[in-house]
Amino acid sequence: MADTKTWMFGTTSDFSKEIIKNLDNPVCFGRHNVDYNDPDKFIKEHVVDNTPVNMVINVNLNNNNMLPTDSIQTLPGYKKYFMTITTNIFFFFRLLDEMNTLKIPVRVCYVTSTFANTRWYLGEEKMRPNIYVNNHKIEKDHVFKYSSARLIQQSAMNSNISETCRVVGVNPAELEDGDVMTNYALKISEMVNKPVDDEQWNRIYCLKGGMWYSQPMWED
Amino acid sequence: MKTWMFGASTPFSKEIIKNLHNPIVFGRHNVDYTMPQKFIKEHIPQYVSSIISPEDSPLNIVINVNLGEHTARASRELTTLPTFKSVFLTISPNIFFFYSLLSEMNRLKLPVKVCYVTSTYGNTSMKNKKEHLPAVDKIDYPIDFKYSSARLVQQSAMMSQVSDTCQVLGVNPSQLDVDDNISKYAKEIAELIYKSPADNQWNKIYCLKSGGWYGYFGDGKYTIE
Repeated sequence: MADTKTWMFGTTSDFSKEIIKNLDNPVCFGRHNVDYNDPDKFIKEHVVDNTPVNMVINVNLNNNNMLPTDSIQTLPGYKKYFMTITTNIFFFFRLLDEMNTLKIPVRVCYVTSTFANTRWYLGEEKMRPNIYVNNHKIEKDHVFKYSSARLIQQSAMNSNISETCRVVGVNPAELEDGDVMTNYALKISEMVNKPVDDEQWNRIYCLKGGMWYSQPMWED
Repeated sequence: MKTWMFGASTPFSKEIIKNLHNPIVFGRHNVDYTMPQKFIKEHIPQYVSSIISPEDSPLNIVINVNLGEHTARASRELTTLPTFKSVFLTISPNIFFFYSLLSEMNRLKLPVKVCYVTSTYGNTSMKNKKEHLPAVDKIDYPIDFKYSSARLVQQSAMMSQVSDTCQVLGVNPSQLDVDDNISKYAKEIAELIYKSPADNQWNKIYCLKSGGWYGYFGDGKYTIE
């Protein structure tokens, strides 16, 4: 695919390494060669022509950012949390925004979670059991931090959808070494190469459950 | 039956208030949303001491407050990291206020039901098969980052407080100003807040216009990776 560049963001985790194995001659970016605080520097150095780009993103959002667990129990701590997670999210928000401005075709497959995504159903099914009871006894601050980070990430990506920009989020649920990781990595490499009119685009996909999440914005 | 209403100034809030049972009304005139601890200190002990019969608990809370997202920079202007971050600095205080309040009520194990006004703009629907997805042309346009993020963070804050004693329900007053929706929606909110804590409506998001429900965790088996 000489007429397309492949960019992989995230290089250090085992999962990233497995994804990289399956990509077509990717240029790999990570903290060793990218300053996520400065997307404009990256744009200046790398967005240099109109060659279409396939992009895979598997980067940490820092939502568990080594802050103490009680760090969002005060308003300054709450704000600090957002300041921490937004740097990496903004990097890709800005990069896609610029690629949209320049009308550079881009297909993005980014690792996310479906932890906080909703499913929709009509009134007659309202009586489905109320199952959001934090079965796993996850600490509430952690629930908030994790779900918020992933939802903001998804908003940032979906807000850049355009005629030239396609995005799909993937949830590598219950990721573990071995066949699971191998299969997930292979699937991601297949997805990022799908045609731009494929129904997968602009959705979020759970690699384990096979569920698709889309945004039914007709209600507003 | 004890009811607190947050948001007092809009026509919609005023219409909701008409339908509630003797609510205590809070708004910017008597609450500093940047200081939840002050509110907690002043009002929680008072509420606890006023519980004299079983029907005084749980506390019913209706929330219709501005998140402030309209005062943040427009999404198209978010071209620098500081402006991007400023969106979250702007929306944090009001969201944090209720996060703190519910957190404290959870700590004290005070039963509470909450009905809060939100939007379903950024919410997703789930399909088990790719071929069941809506046609691409129905969704093939960008969402507004600022608005969807504000509402999704609000929902995260509320949902993260769900517990054995805390139930929350988001409602989307879609097309509020059309026809007679204000009156109709206000009545419906009043009905929803007084539903039993055992009702399956809780911990979901409901569109008052379409009757669509948004639930979480398809089958409850998912964990944080």
